[in-house]
Amino acid sequence: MKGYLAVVLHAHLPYVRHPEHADFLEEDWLYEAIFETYIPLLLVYERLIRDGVDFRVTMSLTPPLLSMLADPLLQDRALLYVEKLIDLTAKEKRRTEYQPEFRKTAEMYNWKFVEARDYFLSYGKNLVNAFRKIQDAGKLEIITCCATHGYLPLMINQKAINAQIKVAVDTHEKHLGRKPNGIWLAECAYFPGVDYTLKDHGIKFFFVDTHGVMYGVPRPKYGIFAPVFCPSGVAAFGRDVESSKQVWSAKEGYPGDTNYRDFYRDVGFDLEYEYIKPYINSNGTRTFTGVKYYKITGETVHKEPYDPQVALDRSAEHAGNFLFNRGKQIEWLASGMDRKPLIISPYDAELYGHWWYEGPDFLNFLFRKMHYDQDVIKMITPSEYLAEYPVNQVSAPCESSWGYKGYHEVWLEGGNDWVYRHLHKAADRMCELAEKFTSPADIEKRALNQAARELLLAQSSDWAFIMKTGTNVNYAVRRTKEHIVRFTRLYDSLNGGKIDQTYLSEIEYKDNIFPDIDYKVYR
Amino acid sequence: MGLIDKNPKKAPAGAESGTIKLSSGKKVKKPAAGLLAKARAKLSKKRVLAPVKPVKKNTRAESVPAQPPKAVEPKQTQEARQDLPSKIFSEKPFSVFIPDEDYNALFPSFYNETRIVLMARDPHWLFTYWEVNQDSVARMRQNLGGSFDSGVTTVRVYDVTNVIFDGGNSNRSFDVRISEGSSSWYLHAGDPNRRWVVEIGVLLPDGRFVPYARSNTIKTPADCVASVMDGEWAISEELMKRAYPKEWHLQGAGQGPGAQAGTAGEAGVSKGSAGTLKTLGGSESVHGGSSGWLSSWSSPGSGKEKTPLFWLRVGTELIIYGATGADASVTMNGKPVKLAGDGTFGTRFNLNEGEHTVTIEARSADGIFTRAYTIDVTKYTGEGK
Repeated sequence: MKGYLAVVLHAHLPYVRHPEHADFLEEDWLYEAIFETYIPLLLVYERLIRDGVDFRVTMSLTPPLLSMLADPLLQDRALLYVEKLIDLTAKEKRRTEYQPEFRKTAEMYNWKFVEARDYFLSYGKNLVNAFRKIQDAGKLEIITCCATHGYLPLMINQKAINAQIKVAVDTHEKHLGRKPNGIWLAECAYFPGVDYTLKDHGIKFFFVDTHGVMYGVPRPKYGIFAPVFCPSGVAAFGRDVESSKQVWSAKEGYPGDTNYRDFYRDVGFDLEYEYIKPYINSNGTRTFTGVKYYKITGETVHKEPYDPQVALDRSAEHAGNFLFNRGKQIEWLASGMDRKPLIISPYDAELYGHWWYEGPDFLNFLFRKMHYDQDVIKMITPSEYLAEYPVNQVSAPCESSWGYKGYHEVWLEGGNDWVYRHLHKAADRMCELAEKFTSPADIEKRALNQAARELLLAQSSDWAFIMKTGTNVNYAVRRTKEHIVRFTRLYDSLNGGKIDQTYLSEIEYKDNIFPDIDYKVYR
Repeated sequence: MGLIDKNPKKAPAGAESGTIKLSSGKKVKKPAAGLLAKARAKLSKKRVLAPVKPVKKNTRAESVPAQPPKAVEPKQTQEARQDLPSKIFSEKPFSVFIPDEDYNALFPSFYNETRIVLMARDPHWLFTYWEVNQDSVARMRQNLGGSFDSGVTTVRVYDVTNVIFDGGNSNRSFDVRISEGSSSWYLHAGDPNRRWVVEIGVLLPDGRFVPYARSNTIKTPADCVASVMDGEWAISEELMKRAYPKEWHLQGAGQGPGAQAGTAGEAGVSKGSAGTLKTLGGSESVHGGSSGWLSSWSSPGSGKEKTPLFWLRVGTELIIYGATGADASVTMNGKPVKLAGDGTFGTRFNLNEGEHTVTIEARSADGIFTRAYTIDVTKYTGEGK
C-alpha cells in the first residue's frame, strides 16, 4: 500500500421551506436531492457494509441540509413527492408496454423509486439517522459547513464569521451526536485568519482549492499531496487537479459519456399535457419530473433511448479507469515523497445521481474495486490521515475559493454585489443588539434570536450565486430582501421598545431554522 | 420507433370505423408550445388564507405608502385550499395570517450613515461601496465654503502594506473619480499580496483631498507560488508540476469548477465587469463545483442544452377506457386491468407504428357473464419499417 485517496462529497442545499405555501417549486430541490442523490448514496454505503467492503468517504452535511432533512413538514412533503413519482412510473410502465426500448427504463424508475421510498420510511423519513448509522460504522466521516453556507471572506465582521462557525458546530452536534472534526468552508472559500476561528470551535481541518495550498507561504513541500498546518495549527487539505478533472471536466469528464442518461430530456416536457399535468408544477408549468428516457447520445438534438445496462457497464469501466489513474498517480508520488501521498477528490454530492445519474454506481464500483482489485491505494478520511501523520509542514494557505477564476468573483460581481451593503450592516447591527440586550424580556429574547436567524439566512452564499448564474434570480433576490427586511424590522422594534408579537410569530413560523439559537453568539 | 424525434413524412387520409389514422407531417409555423421547455414558472402564488390586520410598520417603513391589508374573501380561501389536496400545510401555531411583506417596498436602500467598506475580489481587483449622508455633505459644504462646488467626488486608494496607516504614510496612492450617483465601484489595484485602504471624499482643484470616510483595511490574495521556501520542507520541481500543472495557473485557479469556456478574461474598468486574470486560451468548461448543481437543478432553459432553431416532435398514444360492474374483472389482450372502485378503468399506451388489435374482455364476479370488445387500430406514418 503506497498512498491514500479521500473522496469528499459536499452535500448542501439552501434552506428552502415555505410552510405558508402548499406547493413551492424550490422545495423540490430537496426532494430531488433526497431521492436522486442522498438515498442512492446511502444505499451504496449500506450495501458495501453488508458485503464487508471496507471503504471511507467524507461528506459535509451542511446545517441547512441537516435542518431540512430533520424537519417533519419537509419529510412529509418528500414522501408525497416520491409517492407521486411511483404513481407516474407505474403508469409509465403501462404506457411503454409495447416499446421495449423504453419499457426497461420505466421499470427501473418505478422499482428505484419504490426502493427509495421504502428506504426513506425505514428511517422514519429522517435521513440524518441513516447518515449517522454509516458514520457510527466508521466508514463515513461527516464534517460541517458554515451555518448557512455563508461566504466568509466577504463577510468582514469577525463576530458574524464566528457565529457562522459556532452555530454550525452546535447544529452538527445536535443532529449527529458529536462535534465535527472538520469543515467544508462554503465554496471552499478561505481567507488567512479564519483558521483561528475554526480552531476556537475545535475544528481540526478544512479544504481549499489547489492554488490555496500551492500559493501558500512558504511553498508546500508535498504540494497538495499532504495537508499543511496553518499558523493556527488547523490543517488545510488541497484539492487534487487530476482526479477533479476526470469527473468535473465537461470535455473529458466521465459524466459526459454518450451512454449516460441525458439530464434535459424529461417526460415533464415531453409527454402529453393532460397526462403529465398531475406530476409537474401545480400551477401547470411543465418542469422536470426526474423521469428521463434518453441517453446523452452526442451533441445532437436527436437522442437515442437510454439503456440502463449499458450505462451501468460504462460506470464500471469509468471506475476502473479512475482507479487505474489514481494508482499510477500514487506510484509516481510515493517514489518522491517520504510519507504516503494523499489525493483529495472533492465534489458536490448532488453531482452524483441528480446530475450524473450513474454517479452512485460509479462510486459503488470504485469502492469495490479499490477493496478487491488492488493494493496500491487505500481510502482514508482526513481525520485518519492526521492521526497517522500528526506532524506536518506549517504553511499559510492563500485566500481562494473553488469558484470560477479561483477567488471571489462569482460571489462579488455586477449582479450580486449590492447584497453586501445590507449583509454587512445587518451583521453590525446584530452585534450591536447582542451587546445592548444583556437581560432581555422573553419577547425581546425571541426577537433577538429571530433576528439572528434572519441574518444567517440572508448570508447564504447561494443567493449571490443564483444571482450570478441567472436562473431563479427572482427567488434569490426575494430571499435576500425578505430576510433583510425582517431583520431590519426586528432591529427597529427592539430599539423602539415595541415588538409586534403577531409579526414575530409569523416570521418565527416561516424562518424556523436553528430553533435553539442563542443571539449571544454575536457577542 | 421512438416516440419522438422523427418527422412523420406521409399522412394517410380518411378514417374508418375502428381505425385510427394519424394525419401528420404538416408544417408548423411555431414550435408546439406544449412541447417546448419553458422557462420556469413564477415563484409563488401568494395564498393568503384569512383576512388580516395590517402589518405594523416600523419606523423605516413609514416613508413607504401604507399597504392596504390584503384581505381575501373567505370563498377564495376555500378554493385555494381545495385545489391543493396533495401537499401538506403545516399547522400554524396561531390563527392570524399575515401576508408576505412587500419586501421590495420595505427594503432599505441606504442606512443614513457615512461609511465606506472595502473588499478584495481577487489578487488584482477591489470592490468598494459607500454611503455619505446629508449631514456629512452639509458639514463638508460648510467647511469648504465656495470651493465645495468645484470639487469632485473621488475614491482615494492607499497601498498600506507594512505600515500603520495614519492618513499620510501610505506606500503609494491613486485616485479614482466617481460618477455622480454611484455608491460602489470596482478598483483596479493591480498588486496581489498588498494591503489597501480607501477613502471617499472630495478632490478640490487645488489638489487637496478632503475625505468623508475611511474604509477598513483589506489584503489582496496572492496569485502565484510563493518565493518563500522552507529549507527543511522544500518542494521538488517535479512535484510542483504534478500538483499544479502549468495550464492550470491563473486560469487554472479560475477554470476549476463552474467555469464556462470563453467567458474568461474580459476586461473592463467600470462598475460591474472587470477582469485581469487573462486566460491562457482554450480554457475548458468544467461544470460542477461551486454550487454547480444550483444552476442545473432548476433550469429547463439554462442554456446548457443546445436548443435547435426549429424542430418538431410528435407522439401518439392510445387511450382505452370504459366501465363495467364494480366487482367484475377485466382483461386487455389477456392481461388483467385494474378497475377503479366504481368499475371504471382506463389505460394508455404509446401507439406504435403498424396495425394493432386490442381485445377487452369483462367477466362478472360470479363468472356467468362475459362481454368482449375488439378494436383494430392502425398507425401509419411510413416510418418504422
